[in-house]
Amino acid sequence: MTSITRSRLRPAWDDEPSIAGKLTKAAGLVIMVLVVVFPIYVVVLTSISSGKAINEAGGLVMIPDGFSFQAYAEVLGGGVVIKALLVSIGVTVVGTAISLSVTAMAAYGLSRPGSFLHRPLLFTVLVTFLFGPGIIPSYLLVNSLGLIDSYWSLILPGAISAFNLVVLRSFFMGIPGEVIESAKIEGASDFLIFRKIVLPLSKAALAVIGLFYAVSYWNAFFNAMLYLNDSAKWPLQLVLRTYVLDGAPMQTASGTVDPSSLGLAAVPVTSVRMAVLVLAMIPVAAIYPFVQRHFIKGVVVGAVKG
Amino acid sequence: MAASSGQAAADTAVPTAATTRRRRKAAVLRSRLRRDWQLLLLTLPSLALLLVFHYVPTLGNVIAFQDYSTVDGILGSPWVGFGNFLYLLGDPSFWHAARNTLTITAFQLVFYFPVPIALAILLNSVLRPRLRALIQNVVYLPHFFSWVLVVTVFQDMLGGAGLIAQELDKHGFEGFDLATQPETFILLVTAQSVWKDAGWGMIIFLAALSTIDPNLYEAAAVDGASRWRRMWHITLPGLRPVIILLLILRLGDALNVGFEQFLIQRSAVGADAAEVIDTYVYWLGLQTADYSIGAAASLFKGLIGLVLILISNKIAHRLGEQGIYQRS
Amino acid sequence: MAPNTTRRGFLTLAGLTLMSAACSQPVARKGTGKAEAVDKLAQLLPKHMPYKGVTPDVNTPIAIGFNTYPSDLVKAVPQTPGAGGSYTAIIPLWGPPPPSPNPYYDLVNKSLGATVKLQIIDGNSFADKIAPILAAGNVGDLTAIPAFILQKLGDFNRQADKLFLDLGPYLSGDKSAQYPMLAAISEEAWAFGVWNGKLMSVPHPGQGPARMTYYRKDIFDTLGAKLWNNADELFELGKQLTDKSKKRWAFATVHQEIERAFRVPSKWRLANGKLEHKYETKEYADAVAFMRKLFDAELVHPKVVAAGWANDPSKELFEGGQALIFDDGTGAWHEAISRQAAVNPDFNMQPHNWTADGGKPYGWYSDPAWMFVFLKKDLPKEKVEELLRILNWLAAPIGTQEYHTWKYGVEGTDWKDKDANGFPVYTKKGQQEAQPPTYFFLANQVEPMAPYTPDYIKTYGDYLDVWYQSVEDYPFKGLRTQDPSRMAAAQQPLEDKVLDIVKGRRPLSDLSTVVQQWRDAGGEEARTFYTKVLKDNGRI
Repeated sequence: MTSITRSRLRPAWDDEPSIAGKLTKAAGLVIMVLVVVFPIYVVVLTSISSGKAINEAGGLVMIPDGFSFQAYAEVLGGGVVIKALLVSIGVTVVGTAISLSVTAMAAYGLSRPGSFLHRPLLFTVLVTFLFGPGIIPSYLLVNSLGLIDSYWSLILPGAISAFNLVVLRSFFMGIPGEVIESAKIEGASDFLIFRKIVLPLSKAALAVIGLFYAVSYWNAFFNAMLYLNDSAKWPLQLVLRTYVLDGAPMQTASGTVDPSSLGLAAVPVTSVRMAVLVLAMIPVAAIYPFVQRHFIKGVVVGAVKG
Repeated sequence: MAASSGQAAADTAVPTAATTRRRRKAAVLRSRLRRDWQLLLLTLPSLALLLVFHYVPTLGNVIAFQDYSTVDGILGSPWVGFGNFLYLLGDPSFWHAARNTLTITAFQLVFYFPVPIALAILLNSVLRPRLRALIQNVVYLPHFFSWVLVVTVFQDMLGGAGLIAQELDKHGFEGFDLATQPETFILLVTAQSVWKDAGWGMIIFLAALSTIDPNLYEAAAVDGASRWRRMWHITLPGLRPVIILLLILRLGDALNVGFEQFLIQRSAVGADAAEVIDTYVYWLGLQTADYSIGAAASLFKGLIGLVLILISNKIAHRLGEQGIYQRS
Repeated sequence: MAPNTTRRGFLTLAGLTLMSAACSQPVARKGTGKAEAVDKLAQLLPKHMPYKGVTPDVNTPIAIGFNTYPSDLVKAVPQTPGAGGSYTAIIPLWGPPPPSPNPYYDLVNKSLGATVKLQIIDGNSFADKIAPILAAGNVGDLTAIPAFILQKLGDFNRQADKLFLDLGPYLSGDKSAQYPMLAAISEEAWAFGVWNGKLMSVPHPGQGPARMTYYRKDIFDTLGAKLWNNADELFELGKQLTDKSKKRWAFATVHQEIERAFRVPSKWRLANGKLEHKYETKEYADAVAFMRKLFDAELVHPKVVAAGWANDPSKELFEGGQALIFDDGTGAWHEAISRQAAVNPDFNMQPHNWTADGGKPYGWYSDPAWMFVFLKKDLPKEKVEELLRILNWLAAPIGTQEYHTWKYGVEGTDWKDKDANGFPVYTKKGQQEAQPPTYFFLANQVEPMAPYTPDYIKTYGDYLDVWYQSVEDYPFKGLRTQDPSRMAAAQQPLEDKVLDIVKGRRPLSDLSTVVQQWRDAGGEEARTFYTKVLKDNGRI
């Protein structure tokens, strides 16, 4: 009874933890998952709840009471969401590719100890983490570059994140110096080292930084709001926002034009909001498992070294 | 910056010696350039993007020294020196907001910052790959909730009409309302931040964990090191560069604790508890299109952030850590 | 005063107080404010010529509507307005943008005889985007800006001069006869289209109470609750209605209507020739004390107590029957009706016009125009005239073919059937294309009421009548004041502290101190500024 069955996943050198330890860990994980899952359950449930259930709850629904997919029909049937989804995917893919490759190049370029000018250049990057431009100067710049209504206006202004660059650089610096030095001695150029040694050894970090970039492109709406005049070009998040936000009332003779439900009056606002959230989350949730593989089993430097 | 001190030193030398020194220096530069030109080239695209899309518009922050009007533009607006800064620094409400901000930052450094690290280590110890992937796929999702929704969810759980209060009420206990208590607000916002972003913040540490050589663990185990000792001597040192880096960056961001989260809950707990620098600036300037005061506040925050980063980087070096910069 | 600073609440606040910044600060903040007087401008305004082509059942300067949709539609504008030109128009839109291009746009453009390409700005971000657009001079040929956003744009007077066209040469006086639909806009509304002594924009007319008190008639009836006639009765009723164990509270958001009911002035009032701000009045102190009473007695729904900017759940709580009394914008009424029609057939929401002392009704003043359409400067004369003809076409009222075209779109595509009252019903496609108010923002006319319930038009029309006759004696009637830039600086601390008082975080006795602080921080200066405005306009 008291003997603990050994997990076949546990390496031979590892001793088995105590029952108390195991229980504590299990409890911790269960609580963690519950705390996260319950609100997600509430959100999903609310998005598919009937008007009656939402009336009863006066907001978020916790106990199911009739279902309705009206909110999804309303949002997806709007005629603009599918197009916006394509825009978002395009911008996210192209943007992430550009950001990640350019950032990785710079992160390596600034990661060699004692290299020429690396301190002032790193400082130049770091300053952008602390000081940012205001809305009006950014708009004037994009306008004068002729990028208004161009998808590039969604990518270029935020293409480099100093945070991501510095973090990636720190991962690159974690690669043992001997690996790179020995390659140098054998006559490899920095380009070659970057491509053949640094990148393959940093899959985990690249996956994480790529994910950070992708999610920030995916979630971005402000640049699109600012730089795109043509609503046919709007990305998903900007379109979805128009469903979510309760607007300011506009006084008219026979009443306020209250935007929150224009054209959606028949569907409970709450369920539309939740449907929007679920829709925005689905693509991310679908992609994440593929990304996380890379950092669950990162490439082990030691193995290559040997 | 310290980085350019080398060049600056050359100009102060005696004229005759200067020529030879300059020549020698030029030769050194040429050889370093020859050695590192590829590294510089790799850095170039990023720098170009940052210069064009970040530095150029950031120059617009000079309006902090103006009484800026969009009609006149930067060239036509009157200059007011440090007037906007003096206005900020002379306003007791600003200091109140700054105090709140720093208190929250300090509190969250202790009670928020370590959470993702602990989570990552905990999750990393889960052996079954499927279970691990499953948990991981779930815990980062709250990152995609908007603040409005996070706050709503917390109110629906912990508020006066929330799930817990209702249950207590049903069983004859006195209900409670954590959503409107100014005294515990700092706990509430920290709990919200942990809930929303700890799973997301964990990702970076998971990546760092994956770079630790498992052979080290084996060797330590063979030497008889216990589970806790292995964590202390292998796991944490493996994470240390990333932890220190993120800590320094967080300090640079000390005057930013979020905006929406506080704006939304302002009326629930009152401005005394919920006013932070960003909300203060919002009421003061942005609501009335006073861009100058906003720019002044953001320059001020950036400057403080810079000082904090440099100091903490120095401390990191003293402790033998890499920090952001290496020692030259 | 805002027990919950929703965005909505806040915007209303922003409109409620005007003040210039304290001058004791190191920088003399810009923005001295600006006021345009209707008195001086008579000769500038287009001559008013009411349009007599249609005869709606309700037809007043503030309300218009048919009980049944007319089957014979009048052609109000005989000629095609456009001359084949192509123009851009910047408009706000709250809600998802229609797919573009679409048959509805095509139809409107064909009817206009010109192409008006809409540049939609998400309404919630309108202020963020219009400021850089103005700074860059990227305005559309037509630019529609809501009044409450103009309030937030610093230096708009000068901005308007630089970017927008003086319409005086085209519209002043008798010239308006060329544009009969625009001439039908009231002179009060036109006066609000004047900046710097020039007629700068075509105003979107419209007036009404900012908010109304609503109650759940169906639940009142079930519980046997009676309507209240004064504040004491309301408090007693609140206690009667609130039953925590049944998840039922008397109130959601009600603060603005309580202030009004206590006869607090909307902003300023003249007392013995001196301007008195609403914060300084006894009525305001009484309203605050009453609200404190409601909160202390726990008659306000806890979710509302905790609510704030962007997460006020009042609508949901009211519709779900968890809160039975609340105040909201006038449009909230018919929206709730449409939403609940399918869910709860018993749902019955009614407005109640009440006062705290049970005396005669009292309403807050509202400006006669709520949105402004500007034309780009430096357009050639024939283009200006084409655009004005387009605006004229769009301004034709309900009952005309023009209105019918831009309101309902393509027959068979955007609408097919008619409801019991003869109103066209949008198809699914019409809901996406024609129903979102796009061209609506360029259609400068009193917005018609629709019969959402059989007694809707009558109840609402009566409410508006009462409101119109009981509007406070507002000293700045007809004056469009441009707020000084730093008004929030002195206002926000006051709002915060009053909120603390109402919610019990600060004693009631603090109010006078708080108001004194407000006076010192800018209130007195605002009074000086506004006194001067009144003097300049010969009102004192």
